[in-house]
Amino acid sequence: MDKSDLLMILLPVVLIQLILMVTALTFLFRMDSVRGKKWVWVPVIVLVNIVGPILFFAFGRKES
Amino acid sequence: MSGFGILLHKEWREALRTAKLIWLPAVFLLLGFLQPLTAKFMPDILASAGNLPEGTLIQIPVPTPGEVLGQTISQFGTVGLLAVCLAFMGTIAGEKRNGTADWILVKPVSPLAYVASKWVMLCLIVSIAFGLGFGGSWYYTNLLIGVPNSGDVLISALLYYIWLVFIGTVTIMTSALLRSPAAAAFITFGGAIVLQLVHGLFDNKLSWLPSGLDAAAISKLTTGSSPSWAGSAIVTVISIATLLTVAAKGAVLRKKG
Repeated sequence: MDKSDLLMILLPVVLIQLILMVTALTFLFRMDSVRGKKWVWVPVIVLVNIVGPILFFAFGRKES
Repeated sequence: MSGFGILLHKEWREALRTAKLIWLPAVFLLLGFLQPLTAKFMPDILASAGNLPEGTLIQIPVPTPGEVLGQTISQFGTVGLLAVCLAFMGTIAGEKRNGTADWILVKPVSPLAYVASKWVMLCLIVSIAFGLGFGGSWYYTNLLIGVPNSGDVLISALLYYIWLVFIGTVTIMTSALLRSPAAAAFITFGGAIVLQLVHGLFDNKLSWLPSGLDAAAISKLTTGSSPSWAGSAIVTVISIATLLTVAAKGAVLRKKG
């Protein structure tokens, strides 16, 4: 298997990871108040793979 | 069941507003994609990891397509299950806390309709997430490893879907009874792990437990044959109905203090 095939195979994975990350970040920036400091969530979402965005969506929201 | 349609519409809006419809399918898709990929490239990953003395020979048998899909389901059983618990932990507890539940239930809607609207939305979201994730994994397995027996794949997908819906229903019920959403999520997740463990330990006596569905789905894929799952399917369907009734009772309980 050459490089371009591999790239085509990995593309959807990267794409979905980006979608997950971008959705979490847009929600983070739009929210008026989140649990904890806002900037703390940025590395959690960007650096912790898969689980980071899950944690943000589950616990980041402050119930009004 | 008055007001069911309106309540369902509200749940749909809520699922969009909290982005549940985006992140839950995304998580399942990622888990589904990664399993066939790691299965395929495991020798390369190990070779590039370094750390091994010169001349080490690693022989990893290439897994069968069914085995890869079985591993995908095991992945769904940890991270995926946790994601489902976390996504639905606030369904009733959160609404009780911020007063939405009180506000809805003073109107002439039956508590059962209130719980049922949440349950239908749960079934829908879980089917989208699991369908996409497992479908993606199936497609990648076809591409990278080989073609599995599609009959086996479809049957185990159905069995595993029922197991996921069962766990979601338990989440809704614990969420109706407990005040804290986080407690609801972790009690359900812990309960699911215990159920799987107990089923693994006393396989011959307790094959009717709902976790039998999960075990049957995996063994159907890896070995091609599965232990009988009719018992656990019946028990699961009955428990889902019971759990929903309990949740409807729990939803109208006033919070104390």
